[in-house]
Amino acid sequence: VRNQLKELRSAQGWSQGTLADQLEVSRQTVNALETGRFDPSLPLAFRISRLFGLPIEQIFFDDA
Amino acid sequence: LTQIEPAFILVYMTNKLYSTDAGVSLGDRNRKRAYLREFIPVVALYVVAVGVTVTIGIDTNTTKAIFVVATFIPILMGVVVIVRHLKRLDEFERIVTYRALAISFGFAMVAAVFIALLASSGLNLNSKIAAWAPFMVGMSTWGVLSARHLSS
Repeated sequence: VRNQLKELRSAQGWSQGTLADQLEVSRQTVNALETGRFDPSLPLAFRISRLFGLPIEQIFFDDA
Repeated sequence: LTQIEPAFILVYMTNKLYSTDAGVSLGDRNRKRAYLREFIPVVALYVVAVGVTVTIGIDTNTTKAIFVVATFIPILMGVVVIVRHLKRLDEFERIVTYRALAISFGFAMVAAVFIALLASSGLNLNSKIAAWAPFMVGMSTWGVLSARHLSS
């Protein structure tokens, strides 16, 4: 699953650490999400969606 | 000293789970502090237990039993601290850590079987090294795998 987390974070001017604190995850997790090494669980995806005020499908895309 | 080393290796390996050159978030720092706040007293207790029992002397069966019990209690406490630490991990860290634990368990088992086969074949092993080898192999594997995935 691809995502535009990095672009959304950069648009807000947040560091990975800042985003990690807002999502209550580690900075490594944010990094893993942004680099596509980790797909979030649905609860985390919903938290991300709420944080950026966007529906999940506008943040995460199917690889296919 | 050989009795103390594994405790320090344990602290180093588990501490590596959170080490990063790229900075940490406030939550990361708080969790690391909580972990160290719980783990350092346990290590100190272990060191004191070893120090006291070695000073008293480990020559009779009674003192040997005291040594084992006195050092094993802090080790059990350390296990509790690590379990509490694992519960504090987020979903990505938990997946990485549990996967590393599973692989390191496999490596430790292979080491244990290898040592058992060597002993069964009649090879004269250094019993202290042989006894600690599965632990060392398991902890090393866990540390390396966790650090590799969480160091970015």
